[in-house]
Amino acid sequence: MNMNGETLKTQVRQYVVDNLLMGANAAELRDADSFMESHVIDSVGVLELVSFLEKNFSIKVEDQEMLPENLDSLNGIARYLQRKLGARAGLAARLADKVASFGVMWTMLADDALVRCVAFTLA
Amino acid sequence: MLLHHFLERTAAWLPEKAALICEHGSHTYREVNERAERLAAVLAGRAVRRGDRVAVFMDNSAEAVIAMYAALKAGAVFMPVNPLSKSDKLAYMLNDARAAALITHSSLRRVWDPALEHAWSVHTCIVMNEDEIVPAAAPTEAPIDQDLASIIYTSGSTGEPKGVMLSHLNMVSALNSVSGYLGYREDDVILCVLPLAFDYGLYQVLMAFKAGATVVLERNFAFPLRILEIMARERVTVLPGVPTIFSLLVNLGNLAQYDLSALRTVTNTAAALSEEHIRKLRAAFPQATLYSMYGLTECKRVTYLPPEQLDIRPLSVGRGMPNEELWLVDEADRRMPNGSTGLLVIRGSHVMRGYWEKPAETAERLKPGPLPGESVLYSGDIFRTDAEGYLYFVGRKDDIIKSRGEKVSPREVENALYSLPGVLEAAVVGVPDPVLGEAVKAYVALAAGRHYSERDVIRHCLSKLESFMAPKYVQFVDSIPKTNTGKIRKLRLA
Repeated sequence: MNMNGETLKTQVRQYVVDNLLMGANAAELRDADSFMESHVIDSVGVLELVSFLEKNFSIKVEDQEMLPENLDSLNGIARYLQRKLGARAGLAARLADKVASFGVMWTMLADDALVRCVAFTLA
Repeated sequence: MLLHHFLERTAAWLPEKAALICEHGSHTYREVNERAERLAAVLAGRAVRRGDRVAVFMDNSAEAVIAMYAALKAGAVFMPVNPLSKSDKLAYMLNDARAAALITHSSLRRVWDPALEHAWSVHTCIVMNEDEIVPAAAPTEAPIDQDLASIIYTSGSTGEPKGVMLSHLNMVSALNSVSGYLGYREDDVILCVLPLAFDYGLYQVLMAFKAGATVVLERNFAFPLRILEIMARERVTVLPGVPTIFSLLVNLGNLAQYDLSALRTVTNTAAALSEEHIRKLRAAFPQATLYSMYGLTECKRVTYLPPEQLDIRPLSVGRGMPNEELWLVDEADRRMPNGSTGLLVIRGSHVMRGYWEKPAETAERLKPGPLPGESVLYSGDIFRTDAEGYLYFVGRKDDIIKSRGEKVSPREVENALYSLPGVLEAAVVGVPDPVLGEAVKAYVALAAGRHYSERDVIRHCLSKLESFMAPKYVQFVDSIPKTNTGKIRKLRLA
């Protein structure tokens, strides 16, 4: 999955507006706004946001990543997702080299589930 | 003694000590007291008088604490309002209490601005981070301890929030008893992540200011690791919480990375901890004593379990605190011996003065006590006692749901559901949830041809209600089971 920050932000913004925005005006939500300070999300909203990110982007948000710098604004989430997805893309590339050397078709590696499965095996 | 005298006394005794540590810095007792004094003079200058209600609608912050003490110093009655409240509810509370003033932040403007349009009694609005605080007149008329110090709104089974009236005497009595058995000390550093609009959050400040301790005030528990960092950095000694917070905390994988060795006391309220959580908490903080407690806004605190009893009766909420008498009664109002199950009755000077302008609801809860003119509190909760008189929570007499430690009135949620076009019938119940205690579940019957998704319904509720009241689950049904008289049968639903 290769997405730039703007695409990620649009997806997350849509989710926040559809699901978590507590009566606030969607147009007022700026990329740098703290969700907490602007009362867009409260503490339970953060847990819901995390399960959305995990499901939608096939990532695991680790305990030590549950930090305001990663999750408290659209900008923060976009940066965090780019890091997470970038790390996974690197892993997929490493894997592709190995698989290619066995002469196996590796285009199927675009499948996230398989990448995760092999990542687990490598780890 | 009046509630704010503790701050004044401590400001004279320990002027340079940190009273509050907040996101943007720390505040000494001298500063908090002086800023409250100045703000009180602003209120007095704007004709806020003894007994007038002053709503404080703010996130946990030094300004929120200063606003509450300013109201008290002006002889007024402070009304803490949960910053998660929406415009309609804020307007309801301002109107119900006929508040004279609102003290708030600009970040909540989109909530309070529309509310003020419908709140005719509010003649003064102070936006703490925008308005210049220019003292205008010294407060003239000092209250006495029979006067109200605070009105705290609580959910009721009728769906209309009720204002719990607490006098200075009520609150001073409660804080003396609670801080007495918890042993709050001058060298304590107390972490408060509970909202100040929730009475146990508020009392962290009140009790700390009596002891001369320091309160680390945080907005909420949304980012547990940040809170752990703060606990380690500030050498926090006391952690008050509710089961949802402790559940998130003990399930963090990397708890052991933080140096929390200064922690000496962990206190739980709002709902009982499970045995598993008790075990995990004690394993995580072996040096800390754990207090299980039970209370209600109507008198603040009712019981605590002395920590040495935790291994003997882990599920008990304990016995009465100092300067308080408790007993159980049966349906005919007869006192029952130890080993019985019945309704809990509470006697003490911490018992509220009633619900603001709700005589019928007040009469259900406050009934004549043993002495002429005295009232005792019927908690509405059912308990059993063991042979030694320790209490165990059995259930509520009404259908109030406890989610995240907050009271949720099914009626209030149903009212919000009925305001969604096409909702024919709605019934709200609590269902067990490992983190929330109970989760709110709504059953909804829609008019023919009307379609909503579960998220549509939840989003609608979020726009009307505090987030903890919005349903976690929505189930669409053709119709809702009813009794012969047409009343919704909730037992069939849960």
